Amino acid sequence: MTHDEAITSAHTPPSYLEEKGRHSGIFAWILSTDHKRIGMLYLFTTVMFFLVGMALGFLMRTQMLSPQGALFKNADYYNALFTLHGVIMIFLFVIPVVPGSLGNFFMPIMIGAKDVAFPRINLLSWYLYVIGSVIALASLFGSGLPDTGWTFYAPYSLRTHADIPMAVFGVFVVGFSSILTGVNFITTIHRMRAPGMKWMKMPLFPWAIYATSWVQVLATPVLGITMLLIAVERLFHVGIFNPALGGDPLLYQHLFWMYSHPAVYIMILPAMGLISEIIPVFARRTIFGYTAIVWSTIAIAALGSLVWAHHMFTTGISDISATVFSLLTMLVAVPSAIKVFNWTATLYKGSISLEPPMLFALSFIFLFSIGGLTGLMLGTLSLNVALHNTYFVVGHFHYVIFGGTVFAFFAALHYWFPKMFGKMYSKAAAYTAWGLMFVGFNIFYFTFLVLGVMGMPRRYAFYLPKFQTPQVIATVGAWILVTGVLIMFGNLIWALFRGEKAEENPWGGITLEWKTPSPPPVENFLEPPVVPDDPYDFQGAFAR
Amino acid sequence: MAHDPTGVQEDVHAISYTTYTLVWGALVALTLLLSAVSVFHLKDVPFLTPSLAAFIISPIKAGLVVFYFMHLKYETNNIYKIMLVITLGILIIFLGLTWLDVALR
Amino acid sequence: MSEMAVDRVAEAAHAEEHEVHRDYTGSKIGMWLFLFSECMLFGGLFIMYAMYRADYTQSFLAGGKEMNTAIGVFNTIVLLTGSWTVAMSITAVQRRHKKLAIGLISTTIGLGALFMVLKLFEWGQHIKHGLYPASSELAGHHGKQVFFALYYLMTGLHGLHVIAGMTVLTVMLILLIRNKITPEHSVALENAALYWHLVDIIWIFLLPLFYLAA
Repeated sequence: MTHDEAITSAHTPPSYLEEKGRHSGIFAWILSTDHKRIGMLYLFTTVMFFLVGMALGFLMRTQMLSPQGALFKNADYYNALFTLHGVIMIFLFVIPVVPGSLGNFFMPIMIGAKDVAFPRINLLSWYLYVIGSVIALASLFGSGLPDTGWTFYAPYSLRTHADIPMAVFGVFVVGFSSILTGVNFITTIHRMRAPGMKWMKMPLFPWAIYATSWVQVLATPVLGITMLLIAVERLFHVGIFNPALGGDPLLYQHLFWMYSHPAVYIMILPAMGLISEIIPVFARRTIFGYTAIVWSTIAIAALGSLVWAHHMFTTGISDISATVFSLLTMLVAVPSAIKVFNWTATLYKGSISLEPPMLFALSFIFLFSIGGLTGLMLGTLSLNVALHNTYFVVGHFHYVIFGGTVFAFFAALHYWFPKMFGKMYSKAAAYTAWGLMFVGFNIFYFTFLVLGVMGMPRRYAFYLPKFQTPQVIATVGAWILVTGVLIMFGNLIWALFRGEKAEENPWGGITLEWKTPSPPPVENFLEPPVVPDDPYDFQGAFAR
Repeated sequence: MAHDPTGVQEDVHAISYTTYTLVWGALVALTLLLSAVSVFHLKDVPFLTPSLAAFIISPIKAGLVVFYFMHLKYETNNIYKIMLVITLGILIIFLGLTWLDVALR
Repeated sequence: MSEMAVDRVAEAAHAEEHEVHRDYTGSKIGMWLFLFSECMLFGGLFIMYAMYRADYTQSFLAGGKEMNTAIGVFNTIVLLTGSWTVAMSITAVQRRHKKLAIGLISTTIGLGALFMVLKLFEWGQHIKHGLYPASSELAGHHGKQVFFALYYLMTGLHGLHVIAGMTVLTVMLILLIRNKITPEHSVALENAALYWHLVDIIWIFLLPLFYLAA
């Protein structure tokens, strides 16, 4: 307590929120090179896109209330909805959200740095992300409704009426932003760790960001060139992917998944890092198997680049490659399971407090496990042939990405909200939101798994009457889920303006971000941070 | 590595003009050799079929550029070499696993 | 031990106030990472080349016959020479031979321009012979169609990189003339040179893949 008083004493410099820089008003934000403000820019934009994507998903679910379509009879609208939902959620929300917002805000603080290595390139990354998003969305107003799905598969994307060149160019620009962020973060972690912070003393969230950044740097350019090739093919008919001109459309899928499979690790690895931060704090125990978690993070990033063709088992790739990719896919489960075991082992004999962040984190473990295990089912060749292109895949994917990444993101929002804004939200509302989301989520997506096994194909605007009952159940689950999400954001926004002042360290965290005032000052630390020997040594921290 | 956050240029190696010139000479010579092999089809010389020559000579040329012109040989920090190996490894994996499908389809 | 750490941070913080973001090694690492990213960008195209060559071996050999090997080899030497001069310019800066450095960088930019002129001349020749995407000459010849698609894509993307490199080197030239690049702070020039060398390396591989394919 005396330490807390000491850091809130009279000569405290203004926080990053109050700092008066060279610019005022909105320019103080959109021209700021402070990693915390850039993190806020990302937080705002990504959450906006999340809400848009969610609204589109909500419309899709409502359409599926009736076999003939409850909202519209034109399947083109449904094609447009799932394409937009996919593009917005994947490229504009899930990929940038954790590295962009929380990674930007907390990674430098957690390694005891003042900022990232290249602050201006950091701001440029955000601009590229916004410009790319605008270009991608502007393609909507071109020649026709988008209908390719988020994957832009050739040869269909070569002949649809939608404005594909513009859309893929937007994705290219967003990808460039992702590469620059990766370069920036890797350099920051190599060069700017506080003295004494050895690699193996680094908290696990920066570790996760580090591994993610490598995937961003090395995999994203492959997507970039693939997207450019689609645009070139559309504009000049060079024949690179067009079978009518000698091209091989499967090669498009290879190149696309060469990035887009590692991309799911760009989505999930930072989330795993967040969970590794939250679990020890609320179990009051040091993390179990720190070294194993670090190496499994690296292993996931590495193995993630070896499994892409498991998205292509039904496309007619060679039997040998399908077998090899199926085997390699099983391998990725090993490091993921190591993490899950380590988190649960951390809980064992811990003194667990079920605060809102912890509830979200525990739901992550549950939902991610279901997502992971259904992923193993899909990685099995024989099952894949039956389940591919059904709701089972959609259910699996949402268990991993929504139940995984997004729940972890929400966990971290609740965990770091008092740190980022110095305010505290209503815990009652947070519990309510969590309950609705967890229940709604499982009603929604577990029904999807069942529907998939029943044979309901994905991306269909209409369906056979026998699927109606489960479709309605899923839709009701979706409504509950959406209600929970809205209550959660409502609660956080309310807290932003009307929330009580938060304590300096409401959860008793011991990593470096809790050793500075909330919200942090512009330079992050009032005095040079002292790096502990073990980032999660709670016994030692409380003994002192 | 992490211990000198201010690190101004601490390890400046001015590589001599002679070294650069020798490397340049080698690069030009290798280019001419590679072209000669391809154009004149020196069939009698073992290991110098055009495609094999391309597989051997081009990486040597690239290596000369990376190690001398790009100073990799003189970098005391191993990080660059590790990063290079990671990148090449990923590229070879991508190539090999794609080939596994395309060649055996 | 922690006291020592505190001292070092204080020292570092003090130094940083005067030396705003002059982390030499950091800048280098950032540049190399970017170059590796570029490698993967071209890597996607190289993978496609390899796969299509396996599919259409004969057409690729035939396509190679259409190439002007003499220009290709000459252009390789042009780029290699440009790499040589820009590499030497760093030594020149460090040895305070400013005029020589200016001369060397200008030579590199000039050689880049020469390369582009020859490249565009070549493209013009091909187009004159009806060898361009979706031309009637190539219609029906799937293998050759793909060969020329890859040729234009890979040399085109490479050409864009040459132009980008020339632009960056021009900026370096201006910085050097205005004494913004000094022996103590030459990292910007070094990074620009790294970029130029990468462009060179990519061409080293394009030469045998297209010009010497036959």
